[in-house]
Amino acid sequence: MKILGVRIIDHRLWAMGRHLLSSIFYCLLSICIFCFISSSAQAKVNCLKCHPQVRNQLSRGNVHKPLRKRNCTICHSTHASDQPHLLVKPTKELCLSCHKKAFKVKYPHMPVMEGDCDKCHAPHASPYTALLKKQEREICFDCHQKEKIFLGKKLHNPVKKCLSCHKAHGSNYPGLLNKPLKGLCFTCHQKTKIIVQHKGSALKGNFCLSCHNAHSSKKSHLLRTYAHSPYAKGQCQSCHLMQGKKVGKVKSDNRLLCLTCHPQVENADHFIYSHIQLTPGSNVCLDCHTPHLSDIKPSLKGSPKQICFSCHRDTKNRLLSNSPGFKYKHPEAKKGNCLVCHQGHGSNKLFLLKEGGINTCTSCHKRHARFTHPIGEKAIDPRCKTKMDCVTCHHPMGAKDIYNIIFDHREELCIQCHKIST
Amino acid sequence: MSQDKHIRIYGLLFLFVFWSLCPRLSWAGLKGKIIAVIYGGEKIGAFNQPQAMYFDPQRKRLYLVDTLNDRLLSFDNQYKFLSAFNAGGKLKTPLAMVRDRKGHIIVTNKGDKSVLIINVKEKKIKSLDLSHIYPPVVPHSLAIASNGCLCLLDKAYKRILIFSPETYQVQKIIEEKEASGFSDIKVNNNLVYALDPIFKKVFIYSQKGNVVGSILLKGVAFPISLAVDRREHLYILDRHKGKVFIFDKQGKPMGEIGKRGWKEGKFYSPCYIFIDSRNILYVVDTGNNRVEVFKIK
Repeated sequence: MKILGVRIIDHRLWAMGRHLLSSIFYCLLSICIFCFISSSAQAKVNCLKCHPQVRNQLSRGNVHKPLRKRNCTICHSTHASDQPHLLVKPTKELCLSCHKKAFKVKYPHMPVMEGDCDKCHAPHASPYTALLKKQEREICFDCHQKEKIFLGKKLHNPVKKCLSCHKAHGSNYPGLLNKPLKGLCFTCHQKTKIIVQHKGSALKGNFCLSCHNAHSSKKSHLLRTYAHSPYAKGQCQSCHLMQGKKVGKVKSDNRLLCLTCHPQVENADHFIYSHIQLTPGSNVCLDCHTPHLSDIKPSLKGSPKQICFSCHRDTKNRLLSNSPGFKYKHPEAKKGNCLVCHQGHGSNKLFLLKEGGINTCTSCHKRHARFTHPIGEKAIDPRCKTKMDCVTCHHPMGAKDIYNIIFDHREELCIQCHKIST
Repeated sequence: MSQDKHIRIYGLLFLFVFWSLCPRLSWAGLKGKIIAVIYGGEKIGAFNQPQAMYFDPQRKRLYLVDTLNDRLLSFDNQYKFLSAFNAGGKLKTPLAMVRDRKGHIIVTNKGDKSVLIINVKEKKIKSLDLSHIYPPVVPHSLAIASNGCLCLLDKAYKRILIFSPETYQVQKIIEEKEASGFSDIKVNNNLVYALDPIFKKVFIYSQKGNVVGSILLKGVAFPISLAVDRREHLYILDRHKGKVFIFDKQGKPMGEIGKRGWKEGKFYSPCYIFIDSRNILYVVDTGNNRVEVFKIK
């Protein structure tokens, strides 16, 4: 009985509590709804009244959801902000706060990595899908130079739609590809047919792109432009073992095969700094060069930028970095034209430079060869008692001050060596 | 009584704070204190791209390989310059050196891709016979084991050649397919340590060529040289970061020395490190054209 009595009291209390909780909940809900309506109504009135250019965008085909709902305050602060356009957060954080799709991929697209979402997407409205600023094909060419992609008149069909092979935000495969390179070509091209066309030779690895350009070419079958001379002459036997008419394995799997025709390259062995080592394969030459066809002389596998950055990842990150410490970069370094200053095979100069820390620079910066802060034998850096050169003050791979100056030229630079007497 | 109670409480508090800070203290303990900086001078002339150094524990001499000046420089254990040596003009872009138990100086000559064995007393020089090894060896780093075995790194073909003591006959050739290539080798407790700068890994081999283990190096950008101390701590020189990273034998970070820069105690494109039996670390700083000496504590 006692237990039952308690139960009765409990039921009553529970009912009372439920009433109380529900009334609190409805009160809060009504406050929320009121605030929500009033704020959006306020935003609608306040923002669009003074920003007619945004109002005009509402007529475009695709409107960003917050704007469609007149929730300007989701992205913009009404009073003040540290960010441009009174944004409440930096662009990357702001976009990712709603678009929570993970961009944690091995190879992110550079604008995604840097948080430049607005490079491709319009924040308010756009006539194109996914709020793109331009048509899908055109937008890629804002950054990727057409001349480098369309090398000839022969075009690969999917090239009209970049996203048929590439992913826009990032991918786990190099080149932002949809699939691993090994199988990508065979999604459209029948493997059996290809094997017949290649006279039965085995197709393995990333073989297709070693002879064919994926985008365009001057030659039929999208073949790459420049041929390695034995390949062009059909002298397969100079590198391969022949089994009758069939091309067999390569004669040697190390660099000696290449050195038989290119003995001058062996001179790089005599230099302190050389690229004769450090390769996952056994023939070091094939790390940078391709033995059959190439679009870049001298038989390079890709652009110097692609080749160098595949090993020098910390330099790549530095050049791609937007951090204030690496804000200013040498234009050639930014473009990835590494071979303008560096020797590909070997050098006795520090950093594999072509002609040392002065002549490499003055070969282009001719005025500075005649007029500059003292450098060379007569100017000794008191910090390390070594002769000064251009890289004493400048860092072409990224520095914090204008003209790639390592220290702030107004405060820190001169006093590194010139002490102020008090 | 109350005072005793306070003492106990403070004592316990002190112990708690001490134990909680203990791992940090030990981490901070593995740091280097700069004790000397060796520059070229009027007497020696400026160094020109020094690439390596070696400390001879028997004679207590320090040797610097002054590569583009084609000479070796010797210093006493107080880092005072003693003499310069060019082996009668036979040194051509020397890159590394060691001294064996008999006192022979062994040097790799990058200029003519040879390894010279120099008998200083008798003033005789002979080349290490590499002619029978295919593909032809491109000699780079050298290291000598306590049992007298000589280890030579062939950079071009990713090989470590181990030679028998004194007769210097090829005993074993280690070829590593798992590595991208090696930039430096060192020997400690008769184990060969080889640094792979691209995969950022240290491979450890026995002198019979068996893989004993490998250590993945975390946080390094461009490792270029390595050293191993008596406690088997690994010292990794990062050329781009301008730092020496210290790892234990499991690959756990233990501390770091230096910073990128030009002033003493800092490094600008350093290329080689060596640690001697007294736990003194030598950093050959090519960019700053000097050698910095640290006492590891």
